[in-house]
Amino acid sequence: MIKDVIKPVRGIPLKWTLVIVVLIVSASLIIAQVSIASGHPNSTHLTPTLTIYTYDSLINWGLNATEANNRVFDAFEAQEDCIIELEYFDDANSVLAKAVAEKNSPKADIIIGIDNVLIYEALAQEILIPYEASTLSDLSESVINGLDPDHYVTPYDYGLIAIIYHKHLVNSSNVPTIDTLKLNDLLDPKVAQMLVTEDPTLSSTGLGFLMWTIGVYEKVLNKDWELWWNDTRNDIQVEDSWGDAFDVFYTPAANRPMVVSYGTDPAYDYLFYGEPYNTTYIGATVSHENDSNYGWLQIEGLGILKGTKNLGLAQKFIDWFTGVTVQEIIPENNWMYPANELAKLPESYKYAIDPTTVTPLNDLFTPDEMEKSLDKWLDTWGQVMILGYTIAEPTLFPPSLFILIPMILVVIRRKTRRKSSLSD
Amino acid sequence: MNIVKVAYVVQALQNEVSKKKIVNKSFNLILVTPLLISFLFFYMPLIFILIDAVLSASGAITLEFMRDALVDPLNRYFIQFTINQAVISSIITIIIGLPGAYIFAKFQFTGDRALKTILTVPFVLPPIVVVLGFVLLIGPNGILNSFLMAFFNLKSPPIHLYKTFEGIILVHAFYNVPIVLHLVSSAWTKANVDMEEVATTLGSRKFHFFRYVTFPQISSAILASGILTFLYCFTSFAVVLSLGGIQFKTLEVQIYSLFHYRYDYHQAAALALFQLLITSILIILYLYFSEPVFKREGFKTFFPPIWIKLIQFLVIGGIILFFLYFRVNIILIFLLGLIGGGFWKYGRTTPLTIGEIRQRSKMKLRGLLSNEKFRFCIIIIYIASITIFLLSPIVIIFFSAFYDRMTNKWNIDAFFRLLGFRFNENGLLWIPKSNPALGANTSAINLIFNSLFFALVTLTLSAFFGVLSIYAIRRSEFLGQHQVIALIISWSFILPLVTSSITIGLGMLRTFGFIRISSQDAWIPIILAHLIAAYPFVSRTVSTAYNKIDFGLIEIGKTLGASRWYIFRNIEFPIISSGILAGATFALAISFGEFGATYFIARSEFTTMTIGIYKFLNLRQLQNSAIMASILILVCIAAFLLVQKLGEDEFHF
Repeated sequence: MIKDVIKPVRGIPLKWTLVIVVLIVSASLIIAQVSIASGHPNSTHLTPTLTIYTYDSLINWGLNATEANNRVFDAFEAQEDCIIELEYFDDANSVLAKAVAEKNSPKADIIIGIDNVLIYEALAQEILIPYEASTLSDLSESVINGLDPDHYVTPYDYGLIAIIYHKHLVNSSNVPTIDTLKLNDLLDPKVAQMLVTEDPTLSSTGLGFLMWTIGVYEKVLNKDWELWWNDTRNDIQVEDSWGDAFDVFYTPAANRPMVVSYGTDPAYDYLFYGEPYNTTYIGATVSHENDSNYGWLQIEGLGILKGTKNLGLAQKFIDWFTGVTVQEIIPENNWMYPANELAKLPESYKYAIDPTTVTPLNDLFTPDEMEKSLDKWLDTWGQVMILGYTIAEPTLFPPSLFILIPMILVVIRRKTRRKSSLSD
Repeated sequence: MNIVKVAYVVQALQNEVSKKKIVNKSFNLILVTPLLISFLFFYMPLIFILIDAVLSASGAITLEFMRDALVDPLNRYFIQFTINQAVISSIITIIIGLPGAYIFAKFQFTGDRALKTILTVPFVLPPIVVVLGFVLLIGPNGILNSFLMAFFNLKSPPIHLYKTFEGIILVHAFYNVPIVLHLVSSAWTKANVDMEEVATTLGSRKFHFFRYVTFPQISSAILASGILTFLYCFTSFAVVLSLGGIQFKTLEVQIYSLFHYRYDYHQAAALALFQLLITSILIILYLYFSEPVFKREGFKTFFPPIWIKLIQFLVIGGIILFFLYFRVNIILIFLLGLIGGGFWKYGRTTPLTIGEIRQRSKMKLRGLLSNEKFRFCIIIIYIASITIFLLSPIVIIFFSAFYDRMTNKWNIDAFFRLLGFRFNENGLLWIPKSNPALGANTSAINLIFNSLFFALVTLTLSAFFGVLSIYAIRRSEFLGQHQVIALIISWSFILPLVTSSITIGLGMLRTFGFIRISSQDAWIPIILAHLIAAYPFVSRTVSTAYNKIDFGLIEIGKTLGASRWYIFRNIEFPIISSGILAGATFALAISFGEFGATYFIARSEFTTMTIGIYKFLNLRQLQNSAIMASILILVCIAAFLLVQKLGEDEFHF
């Protein structure tokens, strides 16, 4: 009886809704299954998978990047019967940030690209486990000590941070001191406007350059490094990552013929463009203060993450990566000096800046100092770049607050006037 | 799909306060439980943020972190930038949108409704898609720049999008113009026309007429759209993250980089709390200005008049103090003061009513052609240019999905390649291949599946919780009648909307970091974040649908002895079902478009399409990015049209 009285007014009957709900739920379950299945297409229990986080320019700059990658990663896969899954990030900083974010339940087994500045953060966050590679005796001792004497991170390459420039755009006519460049020469706005660098909070290359300026000014010249950045902040272009900066450097329209990069870049240029003519089109320079060369040495390493499920495999990979086979691929593909002293250098490296001719600024800082001050330096850099150096101590009540008084007066007057007009 | 939709839900709160309720005398635990669960989901992360912000390492309550975060010159600069760009964006948005609102309110032409719908599309797109559209259009190698460079023989691109204030403002304006179009034009259409006729008869001048008759009636809509735009720009993440560089960061981006690059949890939490405070105040202001109903029933019953005076004074004084402390551009303060003063003096008078409000027959645009050619031309030019402005970034995305800008060739193959299809001698093969740009083990097809999975689960759960919570509020005496409880419940609708996506992400990450969730279960916080974003919309649509129920019918049912379930099944459910469906569609679109929180939490197994777009964009793989974006756009547009179709009256902001 009631059924006749009460009829659905309009809308969708319950029956259909139930069908829809069931469909949706089952569809989402199926999708979840498919998603997981297709997410791990090769994840059988027989072949272990080694997951590696690294930056996207690793071994990607050779004449044949695919082939070089095959020789490094596919060869290891074949040798150990495993699968390597690479995950690329913009920069080594992002690699570390990701690894720290996943500290409690790491997905990756290995991170590649921890350099001699990032290492302090990596050690402070306790995300790595130490491993003494079997190739350790072949690696350059100064490089090992410069990176991590405790072997949490094993060095695989190193190189000088340098300012590189197009020779036809930057020469003695517009920058007279280009062959003996001092950091002070960059204070000239005309020169500073040629330079593009990287954000040290986001890029390890940029961080290297920041350390370079701090080292030269604080340790060599005994001046305030902040002043240098303050004077150049409106003229230098700052990009997020090394790749972005390099894009700008090679875009003629951007008009930035100088970039903070590596001392091996002339060798890169020689291999790609200059070999037939036996010359290079780009030059590189470190800073020449007090008649000697100073530069910041970047040492890159790889380490095993705490919580890895493939410890043995990860250790084998580190041995492989620091072994002679891979180390001889690194110079002309990652464009850094190999850490392994047995690896032969290619011919193009005669154009690179030889790190032995430069006093590394790294030695002027103690590890303790680096660890303690790094955050402060980065904070200060951000403030100087964005706000300028002369920051007055922030006051809670700036004098402009006195403008409030007349405003309040106006409000009160309006209120009373309205009241009196109402009572009238 | 973001915080801007606040307006949409805010009305639900007003409904909750003002609508009559059918009251169930017994305290029903079953109905309260889902409400408590949803409270827990949402308030847990907030509590963790609060803990991070005010609890020092030794466990004592301290304001040190808050103070440090707000005194830090860099943070103050970013807050100042955030406010400046939000104010300028909202002013510019309103300036661009107002003529459009006027045209849509006053003129009739073929396809005006369709055009209005089309122009709303930017608003329903995920911000990251909008960014991509602008990068393709006016980025350094964008179509417009290449064209201008070729045409005028320029050496460098004339339009700068990256790292410029103007670029950010432009994208924000693009995103928010539809709000102004919608809100103001509907208020303008509803404006009392009788007064207009009276005024014209009495020989009122046009300006006078506008100032005394029209403006008071549309002022609250203008203010409302202004506040909403401000809210969106204030919590903008994806746009500023992609375009800002080091110079420009909103609070959201600063919180993100503090957390992810500096590992400074305390400062990040302090800033998030501060941001939450500001957005909450803004929403209260919005409620205060938008609807007298809430003001009357909500505030006045709680506070005696002297309190209201005090609160007004505190709010005005606080805002001025706040602006001065963060050194917001002094000209902007004066401009805002001027605008605010104008609204204060002329805007908030009670709407004038003489007789019955009659829908005025709109002017025919065609009629204008013969009479006033100049005005006609202006209107046509405006319509054409705003259509181009709002649609070209979207069109360009579809274009770029199939066109390789590097080689200047059509490249349809890339579309299939990205989705994992391969052609070989055996025919079409489907072999998804993992893409290192997206993450280990992750192929593009995974992103689509992940997005679909999240969207469907969010849809189901939010529909479930949404219906239950509305049902509980409406039917339980305890929840529906008690004033304080009602206020708390109202806030449970509003707070999730006020909370920016980064804040949700931060809270989730802290909560689950605390619980130590394993890597396979990382999808849980993502689903919860999506749920928090989507569930208020479902509640709102269901609540609106619920108002249509004829309560007499329920009483009849009861009298005739029908069971509770039977009444729900046959009377209530058929009516609210369209509301549920509309809300669920909303949830789907929100989940698909969510970027901030997912990006904050996501691990690469659970990368969604929006993050894929961002990653491709970052690595300059524009075509792949465009392919993903075009799929996403299609989904969002379909959802939007479905919502419109399902409940025309439900989709009025």
